[in-house]
Amino acid sequence: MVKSALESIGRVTSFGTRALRDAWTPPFEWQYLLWQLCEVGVGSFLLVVAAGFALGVVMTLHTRSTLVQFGATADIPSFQSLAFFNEIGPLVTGLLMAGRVGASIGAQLANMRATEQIDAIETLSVNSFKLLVVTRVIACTVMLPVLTIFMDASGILGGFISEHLVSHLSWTLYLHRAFENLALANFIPPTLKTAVFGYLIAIISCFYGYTTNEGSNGVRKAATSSVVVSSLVIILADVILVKCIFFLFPDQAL
Amino acid sequence: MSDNGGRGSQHHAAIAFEQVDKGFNGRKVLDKVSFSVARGEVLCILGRSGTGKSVTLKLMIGLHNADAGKVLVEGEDMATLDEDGLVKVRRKMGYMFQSAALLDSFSLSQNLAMPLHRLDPTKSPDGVRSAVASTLRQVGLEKDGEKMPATLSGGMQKRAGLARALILRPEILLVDEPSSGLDRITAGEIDDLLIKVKTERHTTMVIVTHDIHGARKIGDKFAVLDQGRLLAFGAPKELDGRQDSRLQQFISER
Amino acid sequence: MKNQNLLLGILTTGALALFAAGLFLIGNQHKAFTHHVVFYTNFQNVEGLAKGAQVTVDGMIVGEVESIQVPSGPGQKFRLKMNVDDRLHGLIRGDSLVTVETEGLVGDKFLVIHDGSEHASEAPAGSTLQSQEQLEMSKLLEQAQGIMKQTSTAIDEVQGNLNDLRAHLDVTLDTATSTIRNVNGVVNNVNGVVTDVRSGKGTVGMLLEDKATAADVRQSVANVRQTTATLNGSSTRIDSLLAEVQSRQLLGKMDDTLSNTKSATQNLNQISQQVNTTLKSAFGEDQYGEDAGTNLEQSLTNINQATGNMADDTEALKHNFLFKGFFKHRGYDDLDDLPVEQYRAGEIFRNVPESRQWIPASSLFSTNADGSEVLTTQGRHSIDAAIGQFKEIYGQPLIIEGYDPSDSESVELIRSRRRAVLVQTYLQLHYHLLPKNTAIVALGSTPPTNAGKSTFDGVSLVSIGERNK
Repeated sequence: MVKSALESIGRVTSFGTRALRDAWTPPFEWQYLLWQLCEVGVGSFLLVVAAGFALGVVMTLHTRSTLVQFGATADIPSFQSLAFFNEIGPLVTGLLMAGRVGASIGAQLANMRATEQIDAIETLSVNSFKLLVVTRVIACTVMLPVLTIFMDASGILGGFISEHLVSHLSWTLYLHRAFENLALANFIPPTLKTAVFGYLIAIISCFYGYTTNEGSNGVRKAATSSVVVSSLVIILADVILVKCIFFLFPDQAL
Repeated sequence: MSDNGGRGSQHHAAIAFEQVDKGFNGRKVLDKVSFSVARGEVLCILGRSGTGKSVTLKLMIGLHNADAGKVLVEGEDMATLDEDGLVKVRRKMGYMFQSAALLDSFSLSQNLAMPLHRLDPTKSPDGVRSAVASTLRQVGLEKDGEKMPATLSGGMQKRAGLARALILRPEILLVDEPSSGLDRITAGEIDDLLIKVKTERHTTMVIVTHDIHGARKIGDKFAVLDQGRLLAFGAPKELDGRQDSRLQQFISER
Repeated sequence: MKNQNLLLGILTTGALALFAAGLFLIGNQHKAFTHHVVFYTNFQNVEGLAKGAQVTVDGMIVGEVESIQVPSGPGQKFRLKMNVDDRLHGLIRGDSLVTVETEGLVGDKFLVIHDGSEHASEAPAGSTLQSQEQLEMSKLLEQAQGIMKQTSTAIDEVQGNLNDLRAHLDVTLDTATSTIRNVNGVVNNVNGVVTDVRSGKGTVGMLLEDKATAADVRQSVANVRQTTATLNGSSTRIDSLLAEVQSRQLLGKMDDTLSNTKSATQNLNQISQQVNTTLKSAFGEDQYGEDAGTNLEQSLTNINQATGNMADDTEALKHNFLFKGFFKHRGYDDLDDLPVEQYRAGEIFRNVPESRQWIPASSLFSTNADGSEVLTTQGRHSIDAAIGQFKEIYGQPLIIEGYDPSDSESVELIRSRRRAVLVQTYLQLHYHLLPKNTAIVALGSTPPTNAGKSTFDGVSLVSIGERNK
């Protein structure tokens, strides 16, 4: 049990390092990468923006009800932005992507494996790993931060609209307060850490999809495992990454 | 290239199996199988389902590696080739999959163009387009280039799979169950296409089939696999003369 | 494919734009102080202040703490480097003080650079500003209490003696001497306070640095001067000395001021001795016909006030934001001299309590030859009668409102204040009311609207505790 689990971890690790290594060696599958970037980025855009907006509204409603008791409603924008930029934006984007992209990658690759498409690619002298795995890994790694920015922005917008309806706070003031207590260390490292989330989601999902060989049952299992494992792993990774950010930017750890 | 001892004995055979063993999860699929295919020759591999027929094809193109023994293609030991060597050998080969294995996220033309882009980067977009068009015309799909694989019928998919296998004008064509899942007339069409390729291009072919009717039309030699062993190998006429009831089960035209 | 590229392009451009906007917005808040000057300050205790903490001048955020240099050994201080907006440079003078404050109850720590004085020159960029360590609350309270106790004992002594004085209108030389001794005692007390300050006990030090407190000290010194002036006709020496003290910028020149204050009080000692002899030689009616007793009484009242200021009022912790709550809790902010406008606006004034006692001027005062009013014996009886109406007068605030309808508002104010002072003096001496529990307010000629009178000439007593019962 433990042995097989460790073995799986070892296989995923070597899978991940191979993807990292192959990303830098030609041939580069530009066309396919572009398609994957679109698939991951554009395809998830509406989901992320809608979720971010709703979350922004809900968050503000909650913080408002709490802060009102302390007469600290002026801090709502600040809390909202700190929460979104530091943690909620990155983590929720990661989890949403683990659900959407993870499942799709897992199922797609497992299906390609089951219908011999991966073999077919190999017979055409095309490196299927580079074509299918590396491009997806790059696409997820690049697009996660991009989507996180949209998540943050829509969260702030949702927070503003929710707050504006209650207190008629102006956009300028809201924005000013939202960014008042924000340091670059609250913005850049948390946004960039989602690149790690993207990498992990892609690696885990690709691993389950690419290495399965169980026909249609494998497709189902790969999709499920991709979502479950990548969600769990990004939350665990988040713990470590947050610690790393605190280590690199001690000011943030107050 | 240096220590291929078997190379001389086969004397430039297109494909040679030497005492090949192959198993999956402890179940032996091929047991000490040896045969060779001369250039320009068409070999039909006959046998029941699940007797390792497809595996022999995958061994030939390096999708699997033999557990023991040697698989030689154009004198090269597939097991010892690195990535580049494999690409070189595979460039000379075409593989038509049982399920056609077209990439379902690309249109028919894109499926066909994919190896062209990669293996011949000097080819102009127009050159690629005309190559794709002429190959599609060969298999009678000239009007369906922009269709997605999922919208094609089974027979059309097979033809498209054949077209993709032929796009690089291979010296060796590996065909996996060309007539499976097709009605007799459609299967006949595929057989006719293969015969056309044989007569026009003198391509070496290995065809895995259980359709003895088609095999007799096209095959120069038959190899009969039964329970992982090579039951018989030789020209159809020669095999017809053998008094082996098991063999006759496979090769008689009912 | 084209459509795909377009969408991807839009997405990427949007993300880059948002990212840039984010960077700009964040950068904007932190780089707002691009035109800044650097100042340094040293702190023994940084109170949890962190790098990047805000720096404010007059409540405006003008910069941040750029770095905190950790001391290399015990006894040394943290060195803070501050970036301050260039535009506010003019407010920061050589004698500006830096303190650590807390935003709200639980908020962030931040630095406050207090305005310098007008006369001091602008602090040059890169200079080190003086810092003011925050005091521990408990220590502050303890010290304040100690001073209060000290002072009230001193005042009690004076009061006791004054009672004797008043009882025997024939002031004997002995009584006078003992009074003087007590004056000395008061002065010594002041001296003691100063010594305390010198020896590093923080409260008064802090008080003196506080601008408002400095004003109080100045007021006290002025009162002392008034005292000595009355005691000793005119003493040019003390006058010049005190003038010097007054003219000196207290803020930021603690040591100078303190030593001067000390020497001033030492001089006070000498002067009281001089007074002693003066009294001995000229024990009779002065040029105004007031006897020595009246003069002394008046003088001691002033000393009383002076010391009261030093102790209770000078314990003007109330001007320190830390103690706002403490004084608020007591129910009134400042019981010495109530600000007239504030008082008029207050609830006590507007809702005339039943415990209010009106005493007309005719039954209180008689006018001297020079036009100044003095409390008459009948007046004392009137006050006694008024006080008799209150159920309780100790341990609760008593407000003495002075009224005097005159021609001009300023005269009204001065005269009404004097009336209140006269009554307060009597009350404090006769009833041993603590200065902190009596307040005077000069109300000119206008009583509360619902008092049933349009003007009033006299004094009104209001017992706050009474009202609350």
